[in-house]
Amino acid sequence: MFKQIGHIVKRNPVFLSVRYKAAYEGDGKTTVRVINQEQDLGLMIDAFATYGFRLNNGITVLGPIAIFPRTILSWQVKSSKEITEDSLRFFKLLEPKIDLLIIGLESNDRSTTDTVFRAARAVKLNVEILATEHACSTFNFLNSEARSVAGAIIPPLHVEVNEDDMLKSKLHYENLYKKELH
Amino acid sequence: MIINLLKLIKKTLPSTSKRYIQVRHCLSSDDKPADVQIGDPFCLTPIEYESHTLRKHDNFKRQRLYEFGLYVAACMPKFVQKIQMQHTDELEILTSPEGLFPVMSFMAHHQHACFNQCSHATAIDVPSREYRFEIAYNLLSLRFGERARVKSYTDEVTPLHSAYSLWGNCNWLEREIYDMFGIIFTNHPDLRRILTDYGFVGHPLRKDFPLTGYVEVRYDDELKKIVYEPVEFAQEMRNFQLQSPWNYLRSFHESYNCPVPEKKEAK
Repeated sequence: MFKQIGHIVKRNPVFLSVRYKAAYEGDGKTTVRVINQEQDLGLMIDAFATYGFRLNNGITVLGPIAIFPRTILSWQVKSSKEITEDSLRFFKLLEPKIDLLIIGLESNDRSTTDTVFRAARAVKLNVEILATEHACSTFNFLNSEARSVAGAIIPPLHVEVNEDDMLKSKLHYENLYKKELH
Repeated sequence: MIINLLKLIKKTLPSTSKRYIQVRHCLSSDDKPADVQIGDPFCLTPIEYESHTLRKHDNFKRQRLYEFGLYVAACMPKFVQKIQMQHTDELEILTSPEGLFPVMSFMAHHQHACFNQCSHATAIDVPSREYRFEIAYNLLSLRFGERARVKSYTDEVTPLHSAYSLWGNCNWLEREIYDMFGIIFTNHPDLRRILTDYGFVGHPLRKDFPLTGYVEVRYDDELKKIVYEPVEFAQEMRNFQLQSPWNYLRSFHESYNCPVPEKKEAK
């Protein structure tokens, strides 16, 4: 590597200083901010699977969850058919009052969405009914904006996995630093 | 003489140029008397204006587009209900709601149609009708360089088949239509709100939704967060009557558009 740089320095020394400069350093520079890593913004969902969720403080919760800005609870609901007026009444009793409840359903069917919507309307809650994947990300960025939102999310029935996800979960469960070197 | 020659050519040349000849024949035929009420439904009367300030119509292109519309109607008589040409020379194909997806897949995939781009999709709300919503898809054919519009109708509860499998951009376009009007699309991968706020109730572009909405948002300094409150006006709605005490628009009086015939006094 250093031999190559030596080569370049010999040939065109002027360009070396320009070569490794960032594309734009100024006011409108594009930055990336991963809100999950910022611990003081509250609880966020890092990952989801068919069995549960992993949060950004390292906790893995199994089954459906009721998630709040800084609290996590397990929700006693087996599927979206069991979401009735009674199971949502708990969210109405919270103090400070939540602005929005995000419900994450395990599938995208219109019929299940309708029954849940009717149950939510009976409790007079401001709800947003989404699929699990979208519910997790919506809860994350609404929580990062410090709005009082709560999430009632059921793990999905099907998860579409790509290779990046498989690699990340493999790395998570195999602690590379404790592995023996071959 | 020229017409007879054209008819002769029609018989001999292959069918691809027959179309061209038919169009030219339509445009140049003089054997119809001017005072006949019922015109030929397949031939549009060419629009020619003497005035130079008015838009020039490409009559040949217009007739060809109209014939394509007739072709679509002939291919799918069950679903296509009407073909219309707008004053801007745009083709509109009106279909029944069950036939919306078959007609659009015809337009997308058929070799004589090839509408491989959906420019836009919108809906209109006319609450006085039984089927209050009209939905329109603007299509563009890159192969033939033509545009067409496929329109259909539905009411608040009947779902329509999504066009996502034909054109991928219909994902967001139909999400917008669902969010603004409440029209539900079946076979859509992810139908949820796209423009309104989370937890927003109502469909804004319906005619019965007020212009200012029901809820207003503000940042409360004491609570240090955003609060939602019912909308309130500092000033009530005012109806302006644009009148002045001076008659400076004396010529533009009430009967300006429908002049009352002057009564001549008999002397």
